[in-house]
Amino acid sequence: MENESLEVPRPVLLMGNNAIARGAIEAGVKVVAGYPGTPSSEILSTIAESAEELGIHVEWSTNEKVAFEVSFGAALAGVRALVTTKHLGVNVLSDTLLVSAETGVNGGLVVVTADDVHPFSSQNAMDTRYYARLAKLPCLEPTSVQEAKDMTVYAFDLSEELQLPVLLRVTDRICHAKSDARLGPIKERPVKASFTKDDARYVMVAPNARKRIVWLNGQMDRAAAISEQYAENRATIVPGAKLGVIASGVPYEHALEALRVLGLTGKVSVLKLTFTHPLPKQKVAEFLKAHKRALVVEEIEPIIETEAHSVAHQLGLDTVIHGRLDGYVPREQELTPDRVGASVTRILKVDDPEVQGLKFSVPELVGRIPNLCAGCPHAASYYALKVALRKVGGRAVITGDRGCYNQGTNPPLSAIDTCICMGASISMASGLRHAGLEGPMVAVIGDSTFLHGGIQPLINAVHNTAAVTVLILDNGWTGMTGHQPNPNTGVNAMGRPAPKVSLEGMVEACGVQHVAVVSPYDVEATVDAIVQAVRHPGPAVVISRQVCPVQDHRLRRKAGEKLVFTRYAVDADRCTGCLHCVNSVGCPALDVEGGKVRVNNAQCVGCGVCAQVCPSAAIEVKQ
Amino acid sequence: MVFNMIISGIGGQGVVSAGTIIAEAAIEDGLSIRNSDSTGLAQRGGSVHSHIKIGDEVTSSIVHPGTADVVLGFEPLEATRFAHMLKPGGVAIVNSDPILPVTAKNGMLKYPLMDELKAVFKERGVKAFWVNGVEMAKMIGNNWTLNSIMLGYTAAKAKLPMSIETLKRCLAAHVPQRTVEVNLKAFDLGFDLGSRNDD
Repeated sequence: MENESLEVPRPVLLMGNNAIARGAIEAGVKVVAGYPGTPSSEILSTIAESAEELGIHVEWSTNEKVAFEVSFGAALAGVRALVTTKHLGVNVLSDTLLVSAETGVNGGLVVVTADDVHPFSSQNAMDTRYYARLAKLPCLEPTSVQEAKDMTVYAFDLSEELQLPVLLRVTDRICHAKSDARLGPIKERPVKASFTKDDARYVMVAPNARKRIVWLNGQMDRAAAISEQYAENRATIVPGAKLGVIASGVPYEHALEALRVLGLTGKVSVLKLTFTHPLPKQKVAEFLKAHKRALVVEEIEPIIETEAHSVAHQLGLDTVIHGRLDGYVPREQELTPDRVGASVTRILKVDDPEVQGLKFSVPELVGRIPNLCAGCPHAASYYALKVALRKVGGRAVITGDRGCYNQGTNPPLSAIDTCICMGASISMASGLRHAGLEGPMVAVIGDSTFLHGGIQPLINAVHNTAAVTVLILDNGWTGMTGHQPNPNTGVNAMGRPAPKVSLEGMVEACGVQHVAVVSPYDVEATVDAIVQAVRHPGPAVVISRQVCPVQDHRLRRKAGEKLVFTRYAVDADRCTGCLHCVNSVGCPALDVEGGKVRVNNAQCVGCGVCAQVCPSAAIEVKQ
Repeated sequence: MVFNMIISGIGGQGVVSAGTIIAEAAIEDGLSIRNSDSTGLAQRGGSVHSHIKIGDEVTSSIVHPGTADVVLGFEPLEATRFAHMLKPGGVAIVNSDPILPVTAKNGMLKYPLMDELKAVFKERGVKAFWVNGVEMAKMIGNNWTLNSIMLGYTAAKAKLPMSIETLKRCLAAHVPQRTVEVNLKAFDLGFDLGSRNDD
């Protein structure tokens, strides 16, 4: 992305996350902290690219709560600070967020919460706008990439005006959407950090908190007045229109597109809402008054819709309000132009739109199940784990965690029994054990996830004598979200060398008596290590360590290295076509032709795991 | 003017890159664009697709089904998934070389027959051009030129809203410096074939 300090006359192609990054830079942000998570990750890494040059501190924190507290601290010192997170991370940081509303901030503090609404790459779909109501904080919902940039700048100004953290709530169709956008100037903000002792404000013991709650409620009244005046909370009322659409965020643009496609542009009124908490109630009331029927479209839950009902009730309006509550908008699916259009045509009772081609049926085709990459060390670890558990015997439970390795649930690996939340693998395994289950109990967790939320569960397992085995899949990077560095990588978000935390040292310090470190590319050694760990009577840890080949090769190529892989080939005479390699490792570099296996050299990275697992020793190094 | 397009394929095939090249070219020719990619598990052999909308009136980064001018598919199954997005008179350009997921290789799932996929487009009443892009990339001598060939072919078969020169300039700016020449050659080869082949 570009960093000219002057306004660029020509529009540039910008992804939503880059736009938010640019907005933060234009606003003069000084401290940026976050934890990677789809769809938010590129915001922070984009700022990191120019951080050194612009004097910005950027960090991948160990988890979202830590990230929030780092940026909150910076904002108390008077500088502008940003937090980036996916929706689930807001749960993690919420503990501090809710109290930060009481103390307030000095420098602008903006929390970008990126909601994966469908969800495409998350364990739930969760509307983080509820947190704005819970914490009593302003919430902004840009409708486009350009507005995401502009509103990021505005969010910092608003935060300082109200002395409150501001939630900038975006969804994946902003984060990962691209459009032409115009950049603004980068402001010079020569603010020197300072901290003035103010116990009544910063020491949130109960007597102080009671006073600050009064202050916070007053600030929300001020915020409501600003929201009422905000220009991009904008009604376009068509006199005599049979329907008024109230829309926030991305669904606003879907609504405009649906109206255009249906030939209804200029025939239906639209109330665009971007400053959505506090809701501009007078604007909503005036809009409702002007229409007999209204449709509310928003992602994900009927929040504005419920508040609109409340406005109508208070004023005794008889406008019929349609949306998710009465089933006019689908409750679960991502909103799209055609889904919004379907709601509009249902309300207006427009039978079969005259527009050609709009009737469609989605082709019913077999899905494409994702798999782990060629040479993925996680696949090798899962193979060894399954072999080891067969050796030990008994009914095993494998609790999984969040990361690339949750693809281990897919066939042919089908290797995990649970996958819930960051760090839950270890504590859930402990609970299953304490419940009385007797077979092997194995928690599988990645290095970044372990550092995010696995350490306390491990200490807990030791302290409460849970006989569980923890398999740490250590590939050195936060892989799933695009290979961000973590404290186990040796480099930080700014690209500076950073001391590597010792996983084995940490595990030992937690009090684990049995710790082993193996490379999953050595199948036999990994099987042995897991067998011993599972047989150990107390908590045991196996660290399965092998750097992510995708990232390793990318970095080495970038450094100019010409990679040479060990080449493997299948001896067709010895291959019996049992497909054990394909079914038990699931490597995408293995093809099946005429009932026999063939190594696809365009994909193979020469890890050699398939050769070790072949029962007929048919896969060997090519001379 | 509104021009809608879907590009689809699997992770690593360059779906997002192709979308970016078209988007850059549109902006360079003074047009507004909206583009949205679904890449959830792209790196792990999953489906990837990109919505592209060009024109002054465009809002929303998602193409309305039944309004796409073009579906460009880098893989037959992934192309066919979006047949319903095409408007009457729209065209599909499909690389005919299938990429099997692991679950199809081991027989757990059945990859559809090519005729079954072609029938989906036929049923939709739209024209689909099946291009042996992989074979052509071999002719060029570089397997990574597949999407340049497909872009060239598409530029010949569909009326793209930007000029061919701008598209080629953006393609050249997007690929690694040392592969500019071979990618432009691939684009031209695809364009020539698309101009000749009337299927």
